[in-house]
Amino acid sequence: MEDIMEKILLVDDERSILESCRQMLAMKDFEVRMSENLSAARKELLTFPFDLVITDMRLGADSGEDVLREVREHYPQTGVIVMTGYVDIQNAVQCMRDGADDYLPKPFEIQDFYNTVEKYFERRRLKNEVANLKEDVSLFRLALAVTELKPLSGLLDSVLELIIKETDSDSASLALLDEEISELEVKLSRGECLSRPPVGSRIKLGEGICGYVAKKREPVFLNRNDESRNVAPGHFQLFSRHLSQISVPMVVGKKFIGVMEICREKPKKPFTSRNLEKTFILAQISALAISNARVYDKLRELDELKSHFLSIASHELRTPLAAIKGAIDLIEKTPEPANAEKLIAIAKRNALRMMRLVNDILGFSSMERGNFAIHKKKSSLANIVSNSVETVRSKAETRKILITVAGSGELPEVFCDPEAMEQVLGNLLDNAIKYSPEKSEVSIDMNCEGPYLKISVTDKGPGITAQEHKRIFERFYQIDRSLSRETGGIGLGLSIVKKIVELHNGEISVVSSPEQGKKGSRFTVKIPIEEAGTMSPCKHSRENSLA
Amino acid sequence: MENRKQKTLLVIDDESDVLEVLQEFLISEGYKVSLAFDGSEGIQKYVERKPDGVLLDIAMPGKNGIEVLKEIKKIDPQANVIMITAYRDAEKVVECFRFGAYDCVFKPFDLEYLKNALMARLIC
Repeated sequence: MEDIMEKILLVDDERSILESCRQMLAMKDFEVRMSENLSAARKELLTFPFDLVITDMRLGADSGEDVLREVREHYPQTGVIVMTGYVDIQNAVQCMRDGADDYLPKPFEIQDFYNTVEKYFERRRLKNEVANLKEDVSLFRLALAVTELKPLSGLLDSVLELIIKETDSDSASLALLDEEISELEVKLSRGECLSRPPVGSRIKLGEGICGYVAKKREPVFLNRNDESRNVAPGHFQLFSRHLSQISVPMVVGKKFIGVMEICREKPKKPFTSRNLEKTFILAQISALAISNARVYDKLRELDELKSHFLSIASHELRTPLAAIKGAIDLIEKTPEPANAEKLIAIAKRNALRMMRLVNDILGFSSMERGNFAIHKKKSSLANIVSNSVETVRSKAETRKILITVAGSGELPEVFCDPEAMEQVLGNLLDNAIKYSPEKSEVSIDMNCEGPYLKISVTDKGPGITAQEHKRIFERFYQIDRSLSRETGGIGLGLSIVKKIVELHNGEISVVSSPEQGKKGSRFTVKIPIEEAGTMSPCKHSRENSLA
Repeated sequence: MENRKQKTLLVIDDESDVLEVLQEFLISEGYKVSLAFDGSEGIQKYVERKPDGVLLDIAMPGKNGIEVLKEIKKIDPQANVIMITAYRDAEKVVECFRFGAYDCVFKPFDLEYLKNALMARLIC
């Protein structure tokens, strides 16, 4: 601000006074224009914004009061000092009442004249500083309001309301980046924003003003009839009604999250660079608040999920426990029940079922804490397969499902954690049986592919749609929120399987396409056979079948 | 107990082992027991056999226990239904009472409690 010369318009019908005042002011680095009457003054006022008008009261046919009125009406930012030849206090008081900033009785020493001008600018500087401080305080209040922790939906509303109020805008909108597809989505709009796409519409990066701001991460500031304000390349057009528009990127750290836009229409004044500054700061505070709100929403969701998980998990644990306890109570009740054997078998297989659940929950919990460890050693694949088949045997029998194993014969020993791999295979088999129709077949196939072992579990269940392929490995995915309990289980099995396979430097994939009318799913686990560094191919397989 | 006409019970639960244990217990208590593995089968058997009492699981595939309870009560407002559940969710239990269940027995079962609950309604 300081390096721009302050502009003063002198209005007096006495040429000599004009000239001596001009010389004085020019010496002090003011830019000075002069007029001798009201109409000349009006013309000057149109040329550019003056900081101060100094006018005599008597201007031939015109009066200094006319000049004062003209300035007050059309140029509220411009100061007015009146010079009055009648040392008439009444007259001066009237001018002050009408909005003059100061008066100067004529005749005056040139030094007095300068002092009066200087006093005016000093006062103006102080006034500006107070205004700036007030703005800072309001910005601070804004920051407090916006950063209060709350859900995203409510936050966006209050952000827009505040920005409209604080910048005296007619309309505002907020577009947030959809990270998955790298497009902006207009989330909220207030006031009439005819120039902008409606809420819900999508904007590509680089498309229009909003897209430009998103792509370049820099603000665009457009004012009608003011090319100098156009920060962006000139091809942007204001919507016909808009007087001025500010679009700023919202950034948290280095992460771009969206664009905030505000508009003013006539009869308001165009935005100033101060508005741009304020909007920019508010956008950054809002960006932080939005990313906090997203975390907040996520945490709340997780909290609900946790409660739900606990309810499901305890249900799933109590169910086998009911069978175990019931069976034992009955054995105890009648010393020699004819069907003790049957009851013991019930207790045993439900204990196994509980064990699987407890292992899943414990495994999951240590994975969450990041200390799920596996202990790899040379392990017999045949043992792993037969142990895991054993844990699901009774369930398969109940549902009359045949488990076939192909290729376990001459496979080499595998470098893995045998218990963890039993959990992998056990969970895959458990799922396969759960989803298979009664009296169908679940098959395990094993073969080698170079240095890798591939184990597949195939069922004849309803299949998994392509959309679900990724999501089934997410924790809790299958948890059914109703009472219908279509399949039981706690929704952790596949997320644990995936983790264990990854800890073995392997990968898991699923092939299933119910969309094409095909039944069944095939899960394939691929892990290195040897410890990293040592490799040997494996011999091929023969077929046999179990259960 | 032997002097009275043998009471009949219908047990509806999707867990076959739970069904089997309950069946053993209830037979040993002198009841005549029929079993159903899901809600639809349960409703059908209720209509066919008009049992004196029903033990009904809440969480089942297909029709859940609360839906089955409503249907049975519609068919026979006098039906004696005891809910059996592994949930501890008060809301669900209250809902069952609202729809006319007369007791709720939690899994794992307290067999003594179950026995008394049945006797209270069916025998006395």
